[in-house]
Amino acid sequence: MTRTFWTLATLASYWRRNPIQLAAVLVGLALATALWSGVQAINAEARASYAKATGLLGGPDVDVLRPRQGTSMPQSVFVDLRRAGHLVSPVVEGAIAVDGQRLRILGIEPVSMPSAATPEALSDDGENGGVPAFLSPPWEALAAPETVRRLVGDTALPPRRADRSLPPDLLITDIGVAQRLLDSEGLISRLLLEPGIELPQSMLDLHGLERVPPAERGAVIGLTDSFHLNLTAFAFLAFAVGLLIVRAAVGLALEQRLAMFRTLRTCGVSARRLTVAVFLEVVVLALTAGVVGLALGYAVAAVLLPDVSGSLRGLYGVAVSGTLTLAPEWVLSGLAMSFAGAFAAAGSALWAVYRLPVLAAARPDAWRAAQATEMRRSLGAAAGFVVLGGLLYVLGDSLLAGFATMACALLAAALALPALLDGALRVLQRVARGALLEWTIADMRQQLPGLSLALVALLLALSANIGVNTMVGGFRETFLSWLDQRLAAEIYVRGATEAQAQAIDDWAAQQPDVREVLPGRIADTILDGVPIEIRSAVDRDTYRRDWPLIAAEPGAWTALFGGEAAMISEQTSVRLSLDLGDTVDLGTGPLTVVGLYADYGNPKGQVMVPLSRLEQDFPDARRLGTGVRLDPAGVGAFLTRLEAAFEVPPDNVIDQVSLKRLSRETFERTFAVTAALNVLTLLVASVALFTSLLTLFDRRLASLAPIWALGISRRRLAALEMIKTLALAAMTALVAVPLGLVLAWLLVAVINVKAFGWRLPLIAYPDQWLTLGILSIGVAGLASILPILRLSRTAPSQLLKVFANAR
Amino acid sequence: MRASVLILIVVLLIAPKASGQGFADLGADAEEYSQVTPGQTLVFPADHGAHPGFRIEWWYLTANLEGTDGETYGIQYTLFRQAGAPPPERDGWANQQFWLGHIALTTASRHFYAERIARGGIGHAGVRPSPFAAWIDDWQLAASDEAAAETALGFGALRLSARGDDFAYDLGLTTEMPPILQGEAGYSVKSDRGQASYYYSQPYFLAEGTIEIEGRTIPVSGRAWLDREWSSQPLAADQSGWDWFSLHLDETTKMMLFRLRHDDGQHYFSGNWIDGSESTPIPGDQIELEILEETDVAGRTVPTGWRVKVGARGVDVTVAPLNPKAWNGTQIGYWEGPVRGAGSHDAIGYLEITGY
Amino acid sequence: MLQITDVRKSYATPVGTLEVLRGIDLELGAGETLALTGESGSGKSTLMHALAGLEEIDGGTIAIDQTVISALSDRELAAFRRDRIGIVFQQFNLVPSLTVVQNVRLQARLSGRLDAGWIDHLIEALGLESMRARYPEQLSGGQQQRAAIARALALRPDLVLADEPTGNLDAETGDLVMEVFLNLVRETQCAFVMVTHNRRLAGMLQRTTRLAGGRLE
Repeated sequence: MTRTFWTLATLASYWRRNPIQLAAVLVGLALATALWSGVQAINAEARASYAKATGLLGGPDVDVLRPRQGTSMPQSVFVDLRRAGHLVSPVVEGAIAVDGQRLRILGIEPVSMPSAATPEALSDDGENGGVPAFLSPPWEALAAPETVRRLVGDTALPPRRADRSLPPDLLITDIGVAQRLLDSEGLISRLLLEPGIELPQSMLDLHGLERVPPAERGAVIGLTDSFHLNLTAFAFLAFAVGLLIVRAAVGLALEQRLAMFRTLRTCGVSARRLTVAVFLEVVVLALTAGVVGLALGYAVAAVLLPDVSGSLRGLYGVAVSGTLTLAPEWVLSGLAMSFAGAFAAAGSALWAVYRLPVLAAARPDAWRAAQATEMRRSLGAAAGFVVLGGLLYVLGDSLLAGFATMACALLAAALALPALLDGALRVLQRVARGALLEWTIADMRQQLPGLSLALVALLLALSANIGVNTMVGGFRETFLSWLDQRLAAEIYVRGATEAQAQAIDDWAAQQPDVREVLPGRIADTILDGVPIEIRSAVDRDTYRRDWPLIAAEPGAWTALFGGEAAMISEQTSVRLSLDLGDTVDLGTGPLTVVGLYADYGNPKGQVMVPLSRLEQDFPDARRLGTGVRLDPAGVGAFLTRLEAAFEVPPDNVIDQVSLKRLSRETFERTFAVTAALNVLTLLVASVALFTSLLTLFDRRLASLAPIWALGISRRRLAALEMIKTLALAAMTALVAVPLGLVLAWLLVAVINVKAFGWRLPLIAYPDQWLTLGILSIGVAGLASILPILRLSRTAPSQLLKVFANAR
Repeated sequence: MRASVLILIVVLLIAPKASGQGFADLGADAEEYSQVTPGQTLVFPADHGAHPGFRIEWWYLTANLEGTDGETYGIQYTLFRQAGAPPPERDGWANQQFWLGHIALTTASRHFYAERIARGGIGHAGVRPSPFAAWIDDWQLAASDEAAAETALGFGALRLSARGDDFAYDLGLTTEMPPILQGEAGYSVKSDRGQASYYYSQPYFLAEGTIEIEGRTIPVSGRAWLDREWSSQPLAADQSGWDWFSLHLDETTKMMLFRLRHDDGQHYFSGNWIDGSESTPIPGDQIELEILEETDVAGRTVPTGWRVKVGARGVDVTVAPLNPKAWNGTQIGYWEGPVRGAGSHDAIGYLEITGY
Repeated sequence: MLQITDVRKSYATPVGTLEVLRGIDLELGAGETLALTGESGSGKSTLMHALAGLEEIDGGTIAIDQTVISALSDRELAAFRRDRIGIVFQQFNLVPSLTVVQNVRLQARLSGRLDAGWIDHLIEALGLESMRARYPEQLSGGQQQRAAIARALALRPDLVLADEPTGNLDAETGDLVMEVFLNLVRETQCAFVMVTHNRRLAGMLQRTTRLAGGRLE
């Protein structure tokens, strides 16, 4: 024990003398862990919230019983079903006007509510559980923060508590309170029950109910998963960057302690004990950094989560709780990553220590020499990865292959970077004129092996940023414009019954402010084992002019409404291998495919035919909400008239204008999250650069001293050093742009397609590259300030010593 | 004192401050609620119903059963009421009464249980004094017909039915005996500082019907014991739980005993000796309880085997559980299961152990 | 004390096997001092490293005080070296991140027998009192070697090996350091082997032997 203790103490003395390097190791590892675990935390939290969120909206984990006629039923139906042993929970719903603005009221009964449907604010156990306040006087209600603000001062409504997971303009209250607010005492709108629980048809008939299975939530799942996949990929890249830092820092720390290792060996510490001690040291570093990283990750997640939940909510209509719980899974995964990282980084060094020839150990240059010769080998390996990646892309057909392709691209770039930079410098060297410039370039080449890991970290950070920004940006633009065109109508209304729907269509067509009325229907079928929706189109400008097509035959719309043609979604095209000009048969005769359109987020395929044809071929087709086109400014007035004329369940009216506004806002929040993560990754890379520069400092003296002796001032030398670092960073940034684009392309065009069946266009954002380039140069400058300040303050005697010590 | 759980609603739903207040918050202050005072006369069937001015109340039935298959079984049916706010009562959804149902079935090797929660005011859980009914959803203990409801002060003939995921029971309960009063004429003291409850029992039920285990129906018969108790603060703040026994010593002799455990080890003992329609308090100093067997269940160690001695009554029995793992893993967990006593008497009964 | 019998060592090189030691026999008693001389590349350092157990030998035996060190495992060897042998190299003898006194105590601490009085005596005798709390980089070359000598002697080893300990110092400093070193060796009563190609220094020791052609002359 004593021996191991003193060995460890001796090892630790190095860190005591080099606290900045210690900080760099810890910060690098901690930041990497933080990014990883932070993103994991956000993902885990978001996923956990889906079930609840969608449940509240009558989603995936909850079945809904609703009246076959009308929009409400007596509360006694609830009691009767419960007394018969059927565990249903009542919901009452409606809308009221507050200061002329609509406020949706949702009354729930939390005691009987299926847990999957319970709002987050009510499902916490213990003291913070909102249930007591919710159920007891004065019956606290829940609403989105903006809605709480909007309602400040309103005394007619119960007191409000903010819940970030809720959409705006919605007030959730206890069912009794909601009944009073909606003036519908003793009435409920629907009943919830957990799916899979049996309920005899006779019971449904008795109470005039229909059971509605979980709504299709494929769209939500697909899009949210895509978002999380992107976040995860980002976290992984960030961690890779962190690994490089740690590898650089740990490797250098070991190298610089070779003399110490030798002395310890001569003092009678066995190779095994020394290796164990170094191992323990790495464990302590990993644990410390891991814990700090977790705390940091938690903080990152806590700061970003409200934005992420906002993004998801606005994007996909999925509510994610804005609060964070410390889940053991991600604590473990964070620590595991930290350990894996530390050991991946230190593994080869540990091996080297174990096999350390005591005598060769006194030559610190050996390590470096090996690294220099490695450059050529690395280039070979990079070429190998390029070939492998290409093969995987061509031959692979799975999501895994997509990720492997991405890994190959990253590895190849990381391996090739030093050689690329070296090659570029060699070319520059040939054209350079002037002794000092020549020396500068030559010196940069000499410095390259020592800085290469840090530069690779910078490269990965930059390209990850470019890749993810490009992808998110493309996502935003396409998705929003697609949403704009696809859900073009200002309002969607679904009648409670077929008769009501027909009446609404007729009524709307007569309204003077309505431009177009777009009824729609949809039917399900299966083609070649693929579930397909058949949806309708009507011959209006909204389709002919605005409906976004990916590809189309000339005169496609005229052909479609002619009745012998169809358009299909991208997913259908991929899954059924159908292209323009092919025919598709829905069992009612062949239809020529004349157009392809995007249908993001839909797990099913889709075929579009004219409404008349659909009604004729599929009489059972369900009604879709009727789209109503009118001046967006007139939406409120129209809705007021609609509500006066018809008793339409509030859930059945979608005000598309405000939904779109919300989507746009939340995309901006997504960008805020991405930007924050960007800054963090760059920070990680700058720590790597800083560490490397600092540890290179002593060695730098040996090559700087002769130049100094030739009459170049220390100040000038320092400036040159700075320029060299910045130049290397700039060159790295140049390499990062194409790599980032490759990553983005792999994400949107390969991985997204494999995972979700649709691709996103690749949109270049040169202004972002410029910003990132400048940022990376700034980061490099920041990282080199301290080492260079040290250089400019180095005493001449120190420089002279270089000569005195020269052997 | 049969409260086992005590109202997890307290913690779950109402809990103003759920710590340092004894088991399940039963020791919390309760001045705004009706208070239990000595010398009150219990009136039947009116007192079979709910007493919403009091904070907590329960209808608690256990039965020791023999199946036609020769096996021994036990069942439990409990309906708890917890007031979320002091009187006055509010109507409809504003009502602040919360109801909690627990059912359980115990065999020598298995123990099944289930739990339900409901709000008062709208009718899916509640109690009606006459004709008697105590229900939560489809779980129900109720007079089997109006005529029978008139006999034995309202408890002459009851039907009990309830169903969990893998088990169910459906029993007829009959008796000709009137309910008997626990404590001093129904006033049952729970601590030296005056905490008390109103408490009466019907220990003379003969039970007959069927139980169902994982789809298999078994005809059964045996004895059942119903406890009724209500209070606003039955536990002192430093009482952490209790060990409670209901024992059928023979056809006409029954004994109820409990030990309320104090944090300082100075436990409070009490009980009643029931002989026919006579019920006499057993002074605490006459009761000796000794733990003989402990069982590890649900991550705790609970005393499931006992020696029960009441020298003055000639009782000295060793009490052993039918199934030592009779743990109700409900939101507030507790041990509740059938037991058999041997020694001075061949007894059967139920044991309830809480707060471990 | 030290018995070396027929020690052989060869290295594989690109141009064939290089036989460095071709059968070395040597004996040294406690308190005896020996200078090992020879041309550069004659195998002096190899022999020293073999004696220290830092390098495995191909044949023969090395015994120190009846213990055949060439038969010990790496672990036993480390323990033996820690407790019985002190080594001073030409340079890089000190841990840069430990102070002088921490360096001197290092080996003693590792073996768990710290004799503070003796170490204070060593520091005083080597003229290092005022530098106890300094780091190696703050010392001159001569001071660094004196600290290295103190470290090597801190455990009163049975055998002290020195590989050109003053090779990096100027002649004057070197002589001063050497003088103190030998005084302390005498005081410690250990066997002492020093590699040098400096005749004058070799002359300060009791015996001198020369390594040439892989054999001792």
